[in-house]
Amino acid sequence: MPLIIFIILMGLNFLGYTQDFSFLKPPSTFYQREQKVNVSGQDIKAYVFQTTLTEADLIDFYDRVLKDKGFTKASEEFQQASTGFFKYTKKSQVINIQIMKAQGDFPGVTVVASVYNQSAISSEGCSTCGGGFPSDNSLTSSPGSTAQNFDSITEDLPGEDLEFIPRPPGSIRLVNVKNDAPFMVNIVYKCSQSREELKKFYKQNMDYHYWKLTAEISSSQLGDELKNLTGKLPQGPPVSLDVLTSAYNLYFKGPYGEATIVIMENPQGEGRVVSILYRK
Amino acid sequence: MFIYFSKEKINYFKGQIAPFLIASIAIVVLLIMITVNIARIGLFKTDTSNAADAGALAGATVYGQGLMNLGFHSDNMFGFYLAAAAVLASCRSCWYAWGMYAVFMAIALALYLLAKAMAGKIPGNVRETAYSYAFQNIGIEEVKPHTSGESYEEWLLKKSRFSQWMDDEEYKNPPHKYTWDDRYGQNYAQVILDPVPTPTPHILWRPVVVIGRGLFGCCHGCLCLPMPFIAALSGVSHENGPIGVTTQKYRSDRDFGLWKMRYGTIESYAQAETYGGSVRPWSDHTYDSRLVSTK
Repeated sequence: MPLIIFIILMGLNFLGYTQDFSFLKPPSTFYQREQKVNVSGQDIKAYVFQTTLTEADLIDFYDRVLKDKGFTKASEEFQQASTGFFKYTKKSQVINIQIMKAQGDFPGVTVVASVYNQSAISSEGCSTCGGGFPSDNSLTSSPGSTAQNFDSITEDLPGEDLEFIPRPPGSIRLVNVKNDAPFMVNIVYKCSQSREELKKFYKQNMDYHYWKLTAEISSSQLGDELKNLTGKLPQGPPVSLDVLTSAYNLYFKGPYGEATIVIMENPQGEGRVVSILYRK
Repeated sequence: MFIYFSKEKINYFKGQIAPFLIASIAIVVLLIMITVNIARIGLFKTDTSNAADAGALAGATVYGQGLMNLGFHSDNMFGFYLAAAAVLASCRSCWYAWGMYAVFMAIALALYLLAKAMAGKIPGNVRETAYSYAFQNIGIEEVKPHTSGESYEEWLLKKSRFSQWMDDEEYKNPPHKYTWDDRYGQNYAQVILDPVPTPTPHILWRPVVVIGRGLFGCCHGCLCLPMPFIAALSGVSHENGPIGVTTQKYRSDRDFGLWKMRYGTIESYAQAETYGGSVRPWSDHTYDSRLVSTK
């Protein structure tokens, strides 16, 4: 029996499931947090550290430690003004290191290290984006092409719905994000109904699950503030002001926790997108 | 009396100290009256001071609780930011990533809007609590009327007019004044609050990489920029939340029998603030409150 357990543990270790990533913790860390995110069935581990080290020391630290562990630097982007992003790989394992400078009254340098298994993600393949994340194989698409946008997703991506929050009829699940601590689930659906129909649907159907509507706010209410906020974003296709101002937010409280439902125009095509954020 | 004592002084040696004793007693009585009257006014002043202190401290505590809730909200926002960062970091398609970025930004904005709405409710909650605590501590000396045929137990169970006024939350309504009558006339207690600041949450922008040629090896031709994202709340304006409470109490004219000494209107003022805590994600969100000035 102990031998069987040992073999199972060795197997899990080989697969990377029980791997200890404590080596990612930089010296002089005064705050740390570990978080597991499940994205459409794929696990991503995120480690957050706040340290008194400088950005240069951190870069040296990760270079040294990750090379010792057999990782090689796949790429790096360092924006002097704000932050640095580094990617290390070892076989199928990927470690993304994001170093963020102290900002305002937010002390210390923050490091967000996310660890995931590239093969698990890309092996799902795109297959017209029906089986997980879009794959590396179709990266020749350039902005402006329609490949792998929301419109090209024709069936539910992996994940599960929430029993106590209904999904719009005829909708397609685009993404499912599950976060351990604080526990939250985010599910995004693509649907064809109008904004008014969706508002009505949720106001009526959430009642059946004992949810109580506590507030409803349109993002357009932010007015000039929204313009100032989006002014921080690079101008271009990713987030247009119209898409953000189209968002209508419903806030519910109930025996299960809190739910925020955002109804907005589909940023990549026809119809609407409904995003459900559930928090315990 | 003095003439009598003067004529009889040869024959009467006793009682010489009596005039001085009488005068001393009068002075002592006078001093007792002064002491009692000053003590009464002192107690009256104590009532208003207690009310002002209680109102200000309770208000500051509620302000701190509101900020603490914002802090927990900030934690949730940061958790979502990390989840979004992880999703976007592992995504390999430009358009898909851009789409996710747009959706996640919309949710982040929705959470920020909720935080603003939560912050907007804090002053109202502070005011209600401050008024409630101030009136509860101001010492309304209203006699509960006894109706005919009423047993003692019934009288005990019966609510006073002031209790009913508090239960009906009438204290929330302007002019936040309670009046009552006694045999000397009309009395009142009033609570006046300084304007309560509305805490305004500020956004903590953090970059979340969406795409980049170097990092993700995708999106040829796309910008390789660290994309900003609404990650959490970085702080709030008016974090110390000074809550100022003025309490006034008036007792109808009654002569204490000493130079027309009267209660009149007695006023007290107290200011309390919140301190400690922070709304920044994963920090200590526990705020404390303290009195900063009283008069």
